[in-house]
Amino acid sequence: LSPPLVQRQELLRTAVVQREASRAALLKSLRDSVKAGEWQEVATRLNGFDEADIKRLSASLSVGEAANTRAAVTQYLAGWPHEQMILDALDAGRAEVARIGKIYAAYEQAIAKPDWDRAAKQLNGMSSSDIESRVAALSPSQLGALEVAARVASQRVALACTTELARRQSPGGARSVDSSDAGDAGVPNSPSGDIVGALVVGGKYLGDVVRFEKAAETALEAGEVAAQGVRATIGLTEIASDAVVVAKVASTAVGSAGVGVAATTAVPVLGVALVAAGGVAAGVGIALMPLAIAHASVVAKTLGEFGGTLPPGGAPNDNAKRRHHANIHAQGPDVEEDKEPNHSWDQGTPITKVQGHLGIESVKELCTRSQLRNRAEAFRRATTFVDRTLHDAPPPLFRSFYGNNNARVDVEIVTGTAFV
Amino acid sequence: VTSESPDVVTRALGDLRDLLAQHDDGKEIDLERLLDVATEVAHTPAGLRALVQLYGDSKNAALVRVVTFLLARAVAREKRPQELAPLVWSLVEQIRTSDASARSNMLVAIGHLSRLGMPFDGPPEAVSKFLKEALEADPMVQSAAVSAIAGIVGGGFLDRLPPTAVNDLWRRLSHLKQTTNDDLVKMELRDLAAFLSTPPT
Repeated sequence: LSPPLVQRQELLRTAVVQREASRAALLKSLRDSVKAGEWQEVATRLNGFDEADIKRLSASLSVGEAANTRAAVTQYLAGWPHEQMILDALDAGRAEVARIGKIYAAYEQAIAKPDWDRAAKQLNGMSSSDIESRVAALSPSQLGALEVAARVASQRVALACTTELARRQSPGGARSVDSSDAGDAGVPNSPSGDIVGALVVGGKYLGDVVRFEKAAETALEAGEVAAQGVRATIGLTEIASDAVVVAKVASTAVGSAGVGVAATTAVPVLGVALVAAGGVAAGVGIALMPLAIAHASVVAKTLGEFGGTLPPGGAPNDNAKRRHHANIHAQGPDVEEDKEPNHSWDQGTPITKVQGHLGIESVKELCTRSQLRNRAEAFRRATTFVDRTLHDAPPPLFRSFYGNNNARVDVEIVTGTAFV
Repeated sequence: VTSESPDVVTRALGDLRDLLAQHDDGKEIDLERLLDVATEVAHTPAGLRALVQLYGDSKNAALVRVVTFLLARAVAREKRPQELAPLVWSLVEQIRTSDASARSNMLVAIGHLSRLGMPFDGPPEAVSKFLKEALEADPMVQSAAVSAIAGIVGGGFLDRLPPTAVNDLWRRLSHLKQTTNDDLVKMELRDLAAFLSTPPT
């Protein structure tokens, strides 16, 4: 006998409430997994939803999240009934998801095998943040093997490995950084004066930072240029993503130290890092050296205003007047005249491979979706060209890389050196 | 390339002659100044034509490099590259230097014209010799050569070359595919997959 009508209605209501509660919990779990970057978990949780939900939830993921999920689906749900349906949902309307997802998956397979040459090549196709997060997750032996393979396969990946190795060699660099103990400029400062991380500029390890004083707009006096390069990090924290100059300073007191050449020009700096100069790792004789870190562009602008002699990002040398001029731009029938997505350099220091990669990314960002789609292969080739090329102009060099329908990416090295 | 006053070109050509004369007198040439002056000359198709005619066969490698760069860039940027096509084929015939960047620049120009549907009208032997030599050069030139040949194949202009030259290119490209370790060369070779799948008849 069927239950009375009121009882049936109550059972039905309870079932609906339970189902809704269960679904809400599943959605929350999925969101938590996405937030935590647990892509295997995301893939399997997504598999538990019906087709309509899978499509809706997939569309709500960012390109990066969808690409990571895609890689996990191909790895962990291979052969499952919903595999293709989930992949289609993740790819829908976004060709780059499939492309990036395949790179992620190929990287995971290469690591599992392991095939370090292949892993390095796959990493080379990823963004800088993707590379950094992946090399940071490797064991020391894996990182060492990847670094060796990357020396041949990709300078960019080799640089990321070197940076990560340098970070790990620092006692402070090995611990995880909690944002709650971040000091000025987001750099973790230890009240006890412990090392807060390795200072790495342009891929070069400069020493272990004991303390970092953010200088903001304060202008400091001049000292000797110690290093220059694109991107500065202390431990896991990025201080600057563009070209920076690092200079030894005469005094650690904020307001009386600075960056420059002639010791007459005051330059605003990002901050002063107290760096342990030797003996720290061994625990003997710590000598602290204050290093001022400044944006190269700010240095150039300030010195230009005040008649200084330091070229942007450059140390004083015989080549101080030499300009390094190159550009990367999208061209072809789908690009309007005078609206070419373009990135150019005209600077006092050689253009680095990292700058080349960033330039390509910058041009990509300026492209429309269809321009990007037509140039997927052209950008890959231009990236490989940057990796493989160290050219000193004159002689100037012009290269074109083609995608679909004569869409292309041009690289011009006009004067100076690219890509070191 | 713009249609500026011919006076500008004439004046710039005069500057270029003066600069080269100083070099002939034994002074070291200022290469960046050379590029600046030559760029001024190349502001019009007439200026570019003068550069190619006057200096295309120069033994001064620095000058030829600059001319090839300006020509390749102009072909890539020009709205009517057909006006520049004869200059490219003329320079392919004249060029004496085996300098990598000069050859690479010329190969880019060849690839670009071919992709725009402009067959070469220079002596086929000169073109095939130029391509053949480029395939024997370093990977930077090889990758540019493969891209240029892909443009020629894609444009349907391969039959403009002598059959023996086509066979020779096919053989060299097949060998390159088997032996190269250079990623960029491998990538460019992908565009020739169909051509390389069967020997030419």
